[in-house]
Amino acid sequence: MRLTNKLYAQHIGWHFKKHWQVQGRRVPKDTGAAAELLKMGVQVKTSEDVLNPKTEPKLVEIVGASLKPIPEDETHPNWHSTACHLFGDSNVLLGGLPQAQVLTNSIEINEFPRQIDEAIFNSQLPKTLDRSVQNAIFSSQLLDAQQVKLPKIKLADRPAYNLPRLYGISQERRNRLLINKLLFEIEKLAGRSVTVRRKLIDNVTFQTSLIKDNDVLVFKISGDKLISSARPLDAIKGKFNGDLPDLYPMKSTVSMPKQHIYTENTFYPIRKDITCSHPHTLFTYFDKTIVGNVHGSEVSKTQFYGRSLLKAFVVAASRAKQLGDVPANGVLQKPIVVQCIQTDGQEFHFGVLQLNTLNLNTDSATKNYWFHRPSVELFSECSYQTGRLYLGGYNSEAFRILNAFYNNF
Amino acid sequence: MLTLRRGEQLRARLQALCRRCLSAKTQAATTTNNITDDASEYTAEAEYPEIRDLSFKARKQQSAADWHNEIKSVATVEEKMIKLNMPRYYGFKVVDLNDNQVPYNALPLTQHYTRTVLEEQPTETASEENVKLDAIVKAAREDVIEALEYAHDIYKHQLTQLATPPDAVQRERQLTQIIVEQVNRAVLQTLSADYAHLQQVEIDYNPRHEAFWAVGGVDPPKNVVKSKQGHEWQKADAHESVDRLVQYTGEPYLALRHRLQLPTWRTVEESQNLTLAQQLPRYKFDARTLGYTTKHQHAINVPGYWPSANAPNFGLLSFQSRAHLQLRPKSYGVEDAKEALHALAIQSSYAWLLAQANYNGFNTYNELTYPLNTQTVITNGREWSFYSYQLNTLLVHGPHIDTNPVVNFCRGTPALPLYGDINEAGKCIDFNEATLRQLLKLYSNVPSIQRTADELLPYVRDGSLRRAADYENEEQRVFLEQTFKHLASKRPRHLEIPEIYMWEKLYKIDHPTRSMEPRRRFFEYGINPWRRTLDQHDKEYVPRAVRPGGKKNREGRYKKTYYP
Amino acid sequence: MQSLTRLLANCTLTLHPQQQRVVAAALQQQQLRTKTKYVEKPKPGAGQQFRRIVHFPEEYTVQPLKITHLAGRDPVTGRMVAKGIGGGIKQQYRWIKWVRDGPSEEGATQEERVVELLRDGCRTAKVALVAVGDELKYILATENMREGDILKTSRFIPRIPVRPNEGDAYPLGALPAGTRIHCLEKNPGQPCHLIHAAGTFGTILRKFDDKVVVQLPSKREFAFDRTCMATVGRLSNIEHNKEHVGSAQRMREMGNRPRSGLWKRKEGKHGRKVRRLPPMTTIAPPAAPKEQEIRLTLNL
Repeated sequence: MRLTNKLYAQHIGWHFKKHWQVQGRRVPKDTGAAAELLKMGVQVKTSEDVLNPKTEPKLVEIVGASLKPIPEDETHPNWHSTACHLFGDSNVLLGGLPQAQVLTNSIEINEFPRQIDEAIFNSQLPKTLDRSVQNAIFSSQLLDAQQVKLPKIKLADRPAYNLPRLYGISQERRNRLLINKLLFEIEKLAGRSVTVRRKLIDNVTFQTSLIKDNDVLVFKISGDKLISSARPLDAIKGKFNGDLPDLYPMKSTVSMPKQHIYTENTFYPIRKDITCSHPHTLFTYFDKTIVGNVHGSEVSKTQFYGRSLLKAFVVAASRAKQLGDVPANGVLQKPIVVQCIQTDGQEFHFGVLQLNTLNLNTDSATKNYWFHRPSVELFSECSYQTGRLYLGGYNSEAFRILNAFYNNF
Repeated sequence: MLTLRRGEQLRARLQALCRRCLSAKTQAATTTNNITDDASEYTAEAEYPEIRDLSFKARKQQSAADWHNEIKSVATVEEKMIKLNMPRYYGFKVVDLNDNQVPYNALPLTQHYTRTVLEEQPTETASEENVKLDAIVKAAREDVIEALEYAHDIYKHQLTQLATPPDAVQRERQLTQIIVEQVNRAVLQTLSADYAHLQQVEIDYNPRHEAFWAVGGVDPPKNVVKSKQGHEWQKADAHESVDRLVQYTGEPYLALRHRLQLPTWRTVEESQNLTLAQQLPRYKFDARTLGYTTKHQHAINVPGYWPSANAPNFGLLSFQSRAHLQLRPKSYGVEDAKEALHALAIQSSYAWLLAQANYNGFNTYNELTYPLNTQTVITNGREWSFYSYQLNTLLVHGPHIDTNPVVNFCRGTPALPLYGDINEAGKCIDFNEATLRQLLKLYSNVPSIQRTADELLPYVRDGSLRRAADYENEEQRVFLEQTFKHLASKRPRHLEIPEIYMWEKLYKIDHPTRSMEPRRRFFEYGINPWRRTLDQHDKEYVPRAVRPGGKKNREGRYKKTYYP
Repeated sequence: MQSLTRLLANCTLTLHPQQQRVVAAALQQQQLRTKTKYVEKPKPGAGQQFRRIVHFPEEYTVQPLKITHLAGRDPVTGRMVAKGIGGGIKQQYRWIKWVRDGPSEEGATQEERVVELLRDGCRTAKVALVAVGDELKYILATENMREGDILKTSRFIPRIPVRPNEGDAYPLGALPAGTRIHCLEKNPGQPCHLIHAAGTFGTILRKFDDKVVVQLPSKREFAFDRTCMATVGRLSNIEHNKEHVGSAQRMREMGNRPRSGLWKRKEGKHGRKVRRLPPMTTIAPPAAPKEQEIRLTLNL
């Protein structure tokens, strides 16, 4: 096309538009005028200040308005400048049991205390008991009539496929019913002489804070069921030696979320003066949808075991602080023994913690003892198969250990 | 693996087979004699079939009776409950009775809907059992006081940790749950040694109690009246009583169940009293006038668990919540508050017993053959009311509301305080032993009535086929279990019910002005979507890879359904 | 348009008033119709991806982050920029800490432990969760990295080059020639890292002055500053480019919409072009940030 004057004249409007798209954007060059004026002491205002001055809105008191949530920043009443390391119900330690050991200054002993072992060995349970326990499993896992939406099931190899949504008993209700029914069987066997010295309570919270090597650790957990006893458990006889594992290059507080807003209180759910206030056994539930790693991976076995240890430790530590007789070096006069049972409905992990000292620093000479064995499955599968009840892989070992734990003095 | 019923099943099937074999033999014997003996066909006296009343109302009653007989002849317990729901795909319109709402003047309605006679608790007589009970009360007293103090202390202590305390109803529910569980544990640990039945009891924590029944003698709602007045031949009956469908939903704190039944405290003769039945209060207005709501739902009967053989199927004791009664205004008055407790007890006891009866093959259309008993406690931790209920009849629908001579009985106490207060130090003041005594009386009531399985479930096929799990056909078992649970889950249907648009109502129904438009909508075919039955749906397609009989099997294209 | 206005402006006096109104209305319509919204759209291929937006929190975290799909659209204007992107399974993004910081004293190294190897749905290479002290972070995993490995990082450049292990991070000047590297800083301190696709690596060819010449996976040679940090080793998931997608459904699951398949032999733009490699390029220092411009517009 021949570019003539006439052609240009025809398209002059377009040219103006195009030119304006370029010239319409200018970077203002700093002429130095504002700096000079400021030097002379003249007030300099920008056009924004004049055209849209900043005005503070008047606060109007409205009766019956909902409470404003307190913003979580420096103005919060519980704000501390040094962050604390938090351990809650939904956290799991990255390093699993070794990290929990280093954190709580405990050595691991891979067997139960002798009196519990003997109790399991010598226990004579009636033959009808297996049948009762199986009925308890059926009625808590399958036969209860609650129907709520269960969490979505995703297949790993078919991520785009949506499986039909199931309705059934929720995981927490299944755990609650199973433990209640198993404890009912145990209490029937134990008789009044033992049960009158125990009290059961559901949904209790424990809170405590400790200092380890200049880090503030705040523990706030909930126990799903606590058995409290009239007499504290005796300290376990015997000498136990062991070393704490080496976590280099990780510190023992890795994967514990940091928070600036926290309180350093201690809370133990039962008052000192009540008869049955000593912690005997703690039951915690493990629910995959609530408890998980920060980075989203599945919880491994060692992380599962570490959680039991930490929960037992928090119970024992909050009790020790409640009783109040903790000397400066942290070593307790009378060690506190707490039993802990962690379960996800199928797998049971039993452990016993003896808290000898609250001094968690690396240079502390006394260590706490953690007795445990690998977890036991109560059953491998319990479901409706072709319309009939089915229980596969039933193992009576779990009930025997539970019975021995309950009757432990 | 748990297949413990196998032996009993095989034995029962063998017996049934023998019986059938024997009866076939006798039939064969009679038929062979037919040729030789003509006289057996004829009798001396003429035997005429029944003369049927052919009026519209009688025919309607006959078809209703036929429907009830159809339900009675269904083979298994779950199938009966599915059969109840067969006429409605989208569910029935039911009056919503629950434990969260007891409106003003609820007692007459509750007595009408459950055919219950409310009595006072009889005075105690000095007897051996009472002496034994005194001793037990003394033994249990300390344990119960400790349990109460413990429960209060724990809850108060826990409340201090919460930033925002829960509202009054929530607080009462949570505290009462802890108190009921602790007191139950304390009582069981004291009484188990003397009463062996408490060792075989099954404890349900916050179970789901639901029951469905039909009640007669209620005035028809306006739409029914208008509809009948629109037809000449129905105008006269426009204001006749109709049946209302009722669904109870409840969640007690605790429920105890046992394999055996509680002893009855009213004999069969005392229960059959037509004059007493006709003296019962009638609330013939619609339940919505009191404040109840209606909802669309399938008929659900669940006593807290799913049906299974050898389950403890009879209720011993249930602890009901009265937390929502706090929300009732004080202007209702003291008398109505007392009546509300009675109404709550009656409806929850009747519903639980009805649900248990359903698991034995009875339902609101098929009458009981033996009475059922239960005990109820209504409590808020401090005030306890104790009730016993005897269920003698389930027929309260249609003409039975006027003609059924059998009544149900309920007797109870007013609200008795267990203790005065818990002081600052956590100690219990003014503990009331009389209330504890009443509670222990309920626990010490030994369930002793044992009936044979055939007597307990008279309306099922036979000993080998009582529940869905007894079917040999796997596909049928799976289908029945899934259908039953799906109906009980109150899941909404995937697609909305077909809708008549506003403009269609105007221009196609009320003022039909579109003569040239083809009549292709559902209402133009005469289809009422509310009348869709449960089995009117597309069957599930079976992909070729999974088809039994191979890829090319045309018969196995759709999954078979086993609706009763 | 302007000429029409001038033309008609001369004629308006001779027209009937009714006709005038019609003409005015037509003119109004004409004016409005020719006024289109001017929108500046970016072009794909300049380094910005139009597949997803990651919702980054304020502080670094190891939690998987939520994303929103963009379906080929520019997040600023909302207009389609890149065709063929859309749908796909919503993956979760793991925030990689690209900068491998270490001590700059002689002989001092920071040691980190590999905790877990994970798959990330938003990139082809695998990702390693690494712990040091209190901190958890993600880095790209190399070919032979395993759980429990200890990785070293240092910013010091010794006289004699270091003998590096896979996964360690050193400045370019500290590494010997022939080392395979990845995650290479473009300029020291600039948050722009090169080479992070599965199975890729750059090779250190030679050094001169205070520059180091590295051959990138495209076979082009570039001269980088010798203080730029780089991680040693070849990236994980080396079989990635040999994997078959397998089906149209898998392609859609990955977030790619169906292609038209149109190919004309004679157009000259389809197909691979075989060219001579350009000579070595020295990486320029990072461009100064653009100053804030004022838009002088009037909405007429």
